[in-house]
Amino acid sequence: MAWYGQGLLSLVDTPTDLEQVTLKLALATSSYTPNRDTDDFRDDFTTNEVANGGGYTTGGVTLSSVTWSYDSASDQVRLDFADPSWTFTAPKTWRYGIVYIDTAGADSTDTLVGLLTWDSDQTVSTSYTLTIDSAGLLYLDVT
Amino acid sequence: MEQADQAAAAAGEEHLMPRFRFRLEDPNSNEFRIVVTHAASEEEARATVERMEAKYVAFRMDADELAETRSRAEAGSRAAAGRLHMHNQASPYRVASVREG
Repeated sequence: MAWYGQGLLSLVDTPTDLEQVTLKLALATSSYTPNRDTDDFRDDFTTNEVANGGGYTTGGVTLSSVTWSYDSASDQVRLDFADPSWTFTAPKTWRYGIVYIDTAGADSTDTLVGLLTWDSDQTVSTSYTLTIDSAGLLYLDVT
Repeated sequence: MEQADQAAAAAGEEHLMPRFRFRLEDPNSNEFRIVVTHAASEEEARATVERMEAKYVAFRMDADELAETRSRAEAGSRAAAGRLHMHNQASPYRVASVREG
């Protein structure tokens, strides 16, 4: 996964506490063309989000057990959370996962935080759990 | 309420919960981790931290990734060194301290 540039800047520039806000993970189709330089809010991908229904709810799933940690062995600050999951009841196809801050307001106020890219389209019609890397989904090298 | 809705509601309430800061120390080296999370209770926060540590202990690289990571670590990459440390971590770090607030 990779940071959205402006999203990371907003985290550094303001006292945003990522364990205190509502973080969500949404899925987008291959029609979305990510631009981590210019994409900044949720309205940049909503037209390409996986369709509501069949086990997917527009906006994605809320991430739980969110942690920030510092690991001295790697000199990394890491963002981690419990493995998110969906129970699909119809085929759902996606290429991207987008972590964003849900403000409960307009899409244009929901800051994009991280982008997860699969190598190819993923189509699942049953249960699906995204296994997060042991070292978290996003990190910053302190060095 | 469906399972997904319950999980979302619980997660959405995390920002209202107290904040816990853990210091964990490797019993076999001088390495440590600082973990910050929100939870309804210290026990719940501790369970989150323990789940994280279980993931670290379970983490193993395959031979190709291990060789490539060793090479990068020898070239001075701290990230690679940390990943090697994860690969070699046989037991969870111990909670040295926990602070609420």
